[in-house]
Amino acid sequence: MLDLISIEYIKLKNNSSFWIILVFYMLISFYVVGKADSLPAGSDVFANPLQFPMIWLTSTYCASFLVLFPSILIILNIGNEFKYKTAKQHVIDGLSKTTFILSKFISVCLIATIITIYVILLSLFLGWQSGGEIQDFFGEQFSFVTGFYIQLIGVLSFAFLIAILFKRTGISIVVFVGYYFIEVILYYLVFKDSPIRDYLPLEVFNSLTFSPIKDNLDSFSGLSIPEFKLSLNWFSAAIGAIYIAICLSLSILIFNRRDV
Amino acid sequence: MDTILKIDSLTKKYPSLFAVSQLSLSIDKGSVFGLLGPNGSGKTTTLGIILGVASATSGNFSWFGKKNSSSDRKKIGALLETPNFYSYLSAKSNLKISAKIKGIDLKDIDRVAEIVNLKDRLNDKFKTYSLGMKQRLAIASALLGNPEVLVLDEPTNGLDPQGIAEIRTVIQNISKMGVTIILASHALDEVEKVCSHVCVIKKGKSLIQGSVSDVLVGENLIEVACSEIEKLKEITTKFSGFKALKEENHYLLVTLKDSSSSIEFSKYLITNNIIISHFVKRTKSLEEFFLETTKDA
Repeated sequence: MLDLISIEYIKLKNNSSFWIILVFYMLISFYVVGKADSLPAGSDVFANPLQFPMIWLTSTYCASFLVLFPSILIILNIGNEFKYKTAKQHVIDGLSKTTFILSKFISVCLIATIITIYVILLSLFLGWQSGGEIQDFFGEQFSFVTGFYIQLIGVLSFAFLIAILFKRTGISIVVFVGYYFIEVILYYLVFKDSPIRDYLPLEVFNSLTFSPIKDNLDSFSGLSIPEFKLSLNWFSAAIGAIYIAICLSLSILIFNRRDV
Repeated sequence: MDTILKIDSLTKKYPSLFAVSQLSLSIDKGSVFGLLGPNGSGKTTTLGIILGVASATSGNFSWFGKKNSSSDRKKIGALLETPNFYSYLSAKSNLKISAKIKGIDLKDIDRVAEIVNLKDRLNDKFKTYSLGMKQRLAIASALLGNPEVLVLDEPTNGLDPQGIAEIRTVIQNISKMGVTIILASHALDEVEKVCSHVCVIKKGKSLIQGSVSDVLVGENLIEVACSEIEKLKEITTKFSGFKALKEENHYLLVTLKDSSSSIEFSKYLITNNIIISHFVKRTKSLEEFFLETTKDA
């Protein structure tokens, strides 16, 4: 297990596109989250979305918008294994096909962990700058960091599955982005009046982070804001975890059934 | 002798063809086994199956005389088709990855780099390597952890004569260390020079197999010429020990049955009033054998 982690680490550490995309993601998300207080719809109750504890909603919500970047990172990472035929070589060298997929899934977890830690640090920094109350640091709203983490792993797992399925980086990115549009069509047209639409994968993952904007808070449960304690919807988190398990299992199944 | 690899009626069917068809063979410990066949004859597919990257349609194989598991492959060093490395990583990092997969001490990297003569270039990126160096790095990777078996698929493909000579020296040295080597090649001289045993395959079928010396001297060949070639042909085909005949530029290449000797054939020609101008007994080169056997199949 430690060997597998260090293998993935060697591959990522020396990959310049990994660093470029990661730093790019970090800079943009810093900028976007930092600008959140200038959004027009800042609520009356939480005057500043950058203060504790609302910063946890703001940062995770904004950062989740940019999930395309780490998804491309995953697709490139998997695509490399096929491009350099190292997927094949790993199996020849003695990894079982299942272990290979699991070792690649370590990359998903590594990237999601790095980004989540970054978002936590970013939130602490911005929250501290906005002069929030220290005791509100890890309020219930902190649960959205968990939500964000699951969302990240979820979306990345989905990108992972597509990359395993299509092998080629370009095609995988097109399919991945294309699916966003497909789900929009499914959500707004096909399942318009059906509860199914709330269980579409990306919709489930999106529901794990939540906009701090007032309108959203109102619609969240119909309760008035002061009475409502905002925290992660753990049911959605569980559905998200199931989707992750499905993506991983399908990847293992596909890879095992195929000649590499 | 211990059997390293046993393949039993292995078949791989693609929608339109059989890449491997009912292939059976057995490889003994310590031998250098050549899998000889033209391009597209199923060599790489066969190796892919025994190395776990492709699945067989039917048939079995077993390494080291037991049930297969992926960890067995850690005892096998293999180079399949092309050297597969990350181009953006240094040679050393690439070898580190292989060593970690096989569970081998990283100290072994220097040893294998020494064997293939790449020690000075280990910290350079793989993409800066020449084709020959890439191939040598792949062999170095295969040698990590002193594997019991080395599987090499066309290891000299695309190399210049010097590169070919270097790789062959490496293979021969490894073989002397007692490592069993399975070598797939379309180059006859390579198999002839390096291998102790050979299996010739075409269209996925085994045409013949045995020790290289058996395959080489297995045929009873005579070059014969005279002024009346047509008459010679006619008479020769009536000889009791006659097996096959081929017309070369200025002579006939006659294959005799194993039971018959060149002396009998010579006597027979004389009694039939054939004045021979050229009579040479020779062993068939692997090349001729190869071309002939693969043509009919």
